[in-house]
Formats: sequence, C-alpha cells, structure tokens
Amino acid sequence: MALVMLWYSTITIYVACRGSKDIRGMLQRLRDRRE
Amino acid sequence: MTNFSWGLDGSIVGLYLLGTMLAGVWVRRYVSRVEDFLVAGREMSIYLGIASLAATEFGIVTCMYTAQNGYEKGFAGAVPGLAQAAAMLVIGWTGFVIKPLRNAGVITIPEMFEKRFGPRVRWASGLVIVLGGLLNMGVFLRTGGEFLVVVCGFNARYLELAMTVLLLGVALYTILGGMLSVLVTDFLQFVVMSAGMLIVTGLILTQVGWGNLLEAVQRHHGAGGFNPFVNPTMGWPYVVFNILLNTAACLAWQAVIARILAARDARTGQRVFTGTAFFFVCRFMIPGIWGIAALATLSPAEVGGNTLHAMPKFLSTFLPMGLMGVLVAAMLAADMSTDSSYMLTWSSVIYNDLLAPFRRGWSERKGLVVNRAIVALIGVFLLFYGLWYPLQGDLWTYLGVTGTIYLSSMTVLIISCCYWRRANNWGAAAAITLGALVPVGYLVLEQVPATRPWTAKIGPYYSGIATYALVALGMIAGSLLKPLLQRRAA
Repeated sequence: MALVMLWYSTITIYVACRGSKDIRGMLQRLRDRRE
Repeated sequence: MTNFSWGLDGSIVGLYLLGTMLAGVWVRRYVSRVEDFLVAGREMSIYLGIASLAATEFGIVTCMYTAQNGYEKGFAGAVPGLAQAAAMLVIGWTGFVIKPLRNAGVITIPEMFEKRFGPRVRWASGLVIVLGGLLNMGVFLRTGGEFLVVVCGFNARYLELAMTVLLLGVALYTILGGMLSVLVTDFLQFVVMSAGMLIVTGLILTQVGWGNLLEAVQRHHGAGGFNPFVNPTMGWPYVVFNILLNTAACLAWQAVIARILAARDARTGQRVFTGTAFFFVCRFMIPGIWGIAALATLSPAEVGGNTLHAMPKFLSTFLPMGLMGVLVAAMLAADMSTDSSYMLTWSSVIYNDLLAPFRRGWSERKGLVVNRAIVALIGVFLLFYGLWYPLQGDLWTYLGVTGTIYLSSMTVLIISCCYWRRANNWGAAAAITLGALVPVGYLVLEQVPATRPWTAKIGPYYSGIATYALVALGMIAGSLLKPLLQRRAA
C-alpha cells in the first residue's frame, strides 16, 4: 500500500509541474493572439 | 465535537480560498471572445487538461457517495471508479467518438448533432442535457454543505449560509473568466485536493492500519465486500449498469467532453483521457478507504441512521488540528472545481444550443454578457433547488438515475452521429424521447405510494440498463422507419 501511495504522489507531482508549464504556455498564446 | 480549530484550520482554509479567488479573477483579462469564455480559446494542453478533468470529476459529492459505498459495500464499492477508468483509457487510446467530435470544431455536443440530424434535434438535445445536468448537479450544494457541517461541527442552521457563500465565490470567478478561470482554478484545486487526500489517506493507513481495514470489510460484508458479483446489494445488474453509465459519462457528459473541445487538437484530447484514467481509480479508491476506516472504527450508534455521514463523522474526530484545515481546504477545492465547471458547462449548452435560433448577429461583447448572465442564473437555480430538494435513497443511485436521463440518449446519438451513416432525425427523436421518459417515469413512480413496491422490485439498475437498450432500439427503429415510409409515400 505504501508503494501505491508513493506511485500516486509521484504522478500527482509530475502532473502538477507539467500543468503549471501548460498554464503559462496557454496564457502566453492567448496574449500573443490578442496582440 | 470536532477537532476543527477556527484559528489554525480556519486560516488554512481562508488562505486557500483567497488564493483561488484571486487566480480565478486574474485570468479574466484573457477573455475577449465567446470562444475564450466557453472553451479557453482551444489552447488547453495535456497536463492542464488532466489536472482539470481530475479535479472537475471529483467533488465533495463524489467523496461522500464513494465513502458511503466503501462503508456499505466495502472494496466492491469501487466498481464505478474502475468502470470509468477503464472506459476513459479505452476511449483515449482509440479516440472513439472524441476524435471526430474534436475535429468537428464544435463548442457543445448538440452542435455536432445539427450537422447530421438538423436544428430541432440540436435544440431538443440541448434541453435534455441542461435538464438532466442541472437535476444531477442540484444535490451538490446540499451534500457539500452537509460535509462541512459534520466535519467542522457547524450548527446545521448555518448549512444554507455556508452553501450560499461557497456558491457566490465560485460564481464570481466563473462569471468573470469562464473556462479560463475554470482551468486555472481547477489546477490549483487539483494540487490542494491531491495533497489533502494523500495526507489524510497516509494517516489512516498508519493509524488505523491496512490489516484492520481488510478485517473490517471481511467482518461486516464477507466475500461481498471484495467481489461485487456476490454482494447481495450489487450483483451483475449493478456492474453492467455502472459499465454502461460510466462509459456513457466519458462519451457524452458535457463537463467531461468540454476538456476534449477545449484541447488544442484531437490528439491532445485523447492523451488527456488516457492520462486522467489513473486518477479515476484513485477518485473511488481513496474516499472508499475513508469510508471503510469509518466502518472499522465507528459503531453503528456513532454513525447514526445516515451512512452518508459516516466518513465525515469519522474524520471530524480522527484528524488533528491543522490537518483538519488541510482536509477542509482539499474538499472545498474538490467542490469548487466541480461547481464552477458544471455551471459553465450547462450555461454553454444553454447559450450555444438553446439560444441558437435567437442569437444570430450578436456581437462577441453581447455574447459574453449573455453567457455571464446564464452562469449567474444557474447559480441562483442551484441555490434554491439544492436547498429544497429532499434526497431519497442513496446518493449514487440518485445521480445515476438523473444522469441516465440524458446520458443514455446522448451517447446513442453521438455514436450514431459519428459512425452510423443511416442514422437520421427520426431515430434521434425516438432516442431522445425514450431516454428522457424511462428514467423520469421511474423517478415519478418511485414517489407514488401505489407503485413504489413495483419500482423497488425492479430497482434502479434494471431500469437503467433497460433505458440504454430501449434508446438504442429507438434509434435503430426510427432511422430505419423513416426511409421505409418515405419510399412507400413516394
């Protein structure tokens, strides 16, 4: 069960890191489109 | 008595709420067109999509009914989550329905139907989606409020006040930023929610112990706590109904499909589905474990008559000060992401499909104003419906039956629209009519004393399975009948 928790934590952290990058990219593209 | 401290836990919750509101309101500056408001300008990438979909489809309601499933059915109660994860994985891999849907460049599912079945079917589909979706969402606020009342030890008289404050906050950033605010706040809510769930589950596993959880399920439910087919309250009708319902939810639930439509392209949408499938297993396993922990530690007298409150009652005394704030922030995050996304989803269908015949020539500015007004009106509706509706039976069954109102017909329509060339508007009309009539008829008959024993005998699972079968037959019969009668008339 501890391994399952570790696995879940790792995937969650990975998605959180990549997701924050996605937000920056999305807002940048919307900003570029407006300009 | 609970361990909730207004000083420490209240500060954690307050900080989280403030951060979310600021982020949600801040992104409103990027909204200049209706497409930005409804589908984030179709600029959503994979990981933001995964975080958003995982957060949206996990609310306090999910947590409550899954924990109730864990308490009442043991590990076998995870069937809905496993079914949804499997469906999402297969659909993501194959691109079944979602690929042609995204490639069509539509904003809502009914818009896709107009191309194949005509404007009347589009309008009728929009109506079914909005009615089914709003009835389904109607229980969210009350259930969320009940959780907070039990966990934090609020006076139950303040439930309505807590619900109102929560909804006002969510409505504020949804009205201003639309899908952009929903995506950004969903992301923050995903992080907070995941952290809270991991910490609480870790504490349960160390304090209560995995062995005790297994032993509690074995003692209370026997083999039926592990195997849904031998559980007397489940059996194959439960499993089949959940497979149908959860596959349909992945294909036609507008709140889920909204992420596909907001994705940068069809491939991104498919990868969002495959990536989120894993979180759907956790969505049902983690609260299920919390419910089983309540089963292992609380006596029936402590739980009282309502098993929906078993998990929050357990957590209210199990978690220490400080962690209570983390839990409440996590659950608020879960609830807010679901509420905001659903409000936007149903408003997008009202604007894009129900108002389609009336909004020709509207400017982008007018479109944005109308969209925002619709979100606000949905908020008002939810407040009153959520306050007044007396929930009967278990929550998952209610959600299943109301969801079936539109999922059955919309799933058959979208599959036929994408893959059956002979499908036509007669078949679509028959499918929509049957998909609405059977579940609504069941809900009505369930309330009438004379027919209540009969509906109890049939049960919601057979009724649900029958709905999907009848809707598919209606589509086939209607579509084949139209050319036949037209040939005869000619």
